[in-house]
Amino acid sequence: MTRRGALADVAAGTDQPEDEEYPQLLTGRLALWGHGLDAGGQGAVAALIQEGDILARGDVRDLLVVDTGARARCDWPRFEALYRTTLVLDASEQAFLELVVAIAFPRLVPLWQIAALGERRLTIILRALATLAGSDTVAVGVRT
Amino acid sequence: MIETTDPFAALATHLRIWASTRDLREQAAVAALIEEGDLLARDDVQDLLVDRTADGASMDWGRFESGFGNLRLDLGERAFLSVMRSVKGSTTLPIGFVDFLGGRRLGIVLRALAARTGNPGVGLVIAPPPVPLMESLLDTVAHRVRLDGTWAAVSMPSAWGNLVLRHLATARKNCGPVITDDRHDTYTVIVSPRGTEQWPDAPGVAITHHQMGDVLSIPGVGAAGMERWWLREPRDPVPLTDPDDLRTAIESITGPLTDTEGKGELLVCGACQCPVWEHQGFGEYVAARRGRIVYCTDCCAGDEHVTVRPGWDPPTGLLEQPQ
Repeated sequence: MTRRGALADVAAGTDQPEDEEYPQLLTGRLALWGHGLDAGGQGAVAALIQEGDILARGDVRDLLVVDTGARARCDWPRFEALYRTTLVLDASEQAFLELVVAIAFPRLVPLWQIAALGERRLTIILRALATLAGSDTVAVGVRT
Repeated sequence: MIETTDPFAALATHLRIWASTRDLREQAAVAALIEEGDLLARDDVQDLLVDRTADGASMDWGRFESGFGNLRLDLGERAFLSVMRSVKGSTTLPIGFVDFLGGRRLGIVLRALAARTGNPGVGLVIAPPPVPLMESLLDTVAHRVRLDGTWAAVSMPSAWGNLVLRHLATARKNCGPVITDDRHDTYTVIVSPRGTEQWPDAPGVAITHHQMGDVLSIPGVGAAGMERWWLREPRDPVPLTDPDDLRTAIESITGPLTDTEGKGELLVCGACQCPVWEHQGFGEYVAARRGRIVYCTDCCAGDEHVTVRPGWDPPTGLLEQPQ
């Protein structure tokens, strides 16, 4: 199926085009979209995909992801405007999203919120900061 | 009392002891500042941030906050200190700071952020893979490197070091990168790794060799307005000065390095720019803007010299002052 065919399926209300050309998983489509972004956008998308739990929530996806079935992207402005009042988040989720949005859209960042992240999300955010810095020499991992 | 001959090591130890009684945020910031080293070694940063007592040291973050804006910092230094303020306190900062940190400071900052969260049982490994040291010369952010044997360096007083560089240029010898240090008045020439080990100790000429294992402060390429900066910036690939050529150039100024003992300090005549050994006798005066000016008594203190070198304008009474 061509791209035009896939878009026609979307227009016809087909949710999942049977098209090998596009990744079938939402995370794959987001990663594909993220590759074309600047360092901050790449870092933020990669952080969301790595974290997984938040992106698995339907209310988060409804607010953040614009998914045509063939392609997906994040609508950061809409998400930033609404997520604090729309979503029910615990402190760790709140801190994670605050930092991810700041990485996607360079802006003032409340660094102290990292204290609420927990080890796994902290690792992901530090990786995203390294990506934002354009560093391919800093590796962030969990000591075992 | 801490017993050490290295003032920075002593300060670091005092601050670690002090920080051990503070909260995680302060501990993380202190550890990062010590690890970074270059900024905390600066007198103006210490004046603002550090309080010394007879038997220890502490940090005054309130005073630092009020005076931070007056520090002369490049973008990397400002970004790093801004993060430290944020790590210690609760200030927000533009996330674009990470663009200016450079690889080494980025690693330190990420470690500080991890330490601030207080997960000591787990911890994070933030391990930059070894960067070829030659590439570190091309970094745009000032940093310190431990020499790994891919290059070496020779430091000399800038008073006569410029004569050495001039000799290299006039002899059409390759001259690699050169660092100038305005605070210590030295030039540091980056040289090939092998060849300077056999140089003799030369008292009086104040030459310092930097060999494998030594730590050297490297200015950022393109950085301006700093105390340490590249007089000759490194190119990619980095050309290195041949140690034999450098020794020849140095000895053209100092004479044989094996024959410097007992001559005192090597000075440079402020008039004719010729090197003057202290034992040869010299005159001096203090100029209003240039400070201490030395002149050689052989050629620059006589009336003939004044007449044949109109650029030489000794102050009134100079010729009556030779020591």
